[in-house]
Amino acid sequence: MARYDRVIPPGGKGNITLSIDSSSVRGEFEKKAIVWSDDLEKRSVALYLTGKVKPHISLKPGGYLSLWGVKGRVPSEHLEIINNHDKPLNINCIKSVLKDHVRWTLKEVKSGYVYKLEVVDISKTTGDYTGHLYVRTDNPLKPELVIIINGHVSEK
Amino acid sequence: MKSDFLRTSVVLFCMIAIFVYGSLSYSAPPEVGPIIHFRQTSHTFPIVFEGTELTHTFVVSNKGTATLNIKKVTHS
Repeated sequence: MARYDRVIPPGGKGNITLSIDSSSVRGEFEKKAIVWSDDLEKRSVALYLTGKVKPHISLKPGGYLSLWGVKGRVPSEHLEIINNHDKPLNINCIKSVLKDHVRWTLKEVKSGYVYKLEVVDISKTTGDYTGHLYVRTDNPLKPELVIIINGHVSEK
Repeated sequence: MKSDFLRTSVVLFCMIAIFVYGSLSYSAPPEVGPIIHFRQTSHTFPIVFEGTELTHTFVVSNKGTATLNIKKVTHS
């Protein structure tokens, strides 16, 4: 978004204010804005904004777990929940509609900062399933994390 | 001998006249119209958490002799 002074007298100054909503940005970014004027020698000037946006909580390697294998022998999968704030993070609860397919355990790796979430398949039948784990936290800026679970259980 | 001296003097005089005229008649073209100028065209924000609104103001100057009109600001 841009706000700017439209008319600048000779010898005068004006402001061009650029804003970025970092909710839609992850990691390092470079945004470019072009200012168009009636200066015949230089009709456009490019302005650049750069920076880095950190998530409140990171999921490593990502927010997706795939449970694929033979019934009764599907390898478990895990991910790390990493708190990027200085203030410790508490995980209040984990919910899912996949209770017939998966069981999960949460372990503290570094109290308040790093958690390991392990998910195992407990399906009694073969087939595919997809759903989510909802991790509720006490961080008001990120009260819920959504982890996608994808299962494929075969006979052999 | 005398005519050679006269001819050389005339040529020298003409060369000096051309040089002086050329020097006096040349002047830089006057600055006409608006001239846009930015002291800074890039800015780096410190590291922030997601959801923070990032805002920066660039100062634009008009170094010309006529009013500068900013027509639009587009972004990518």
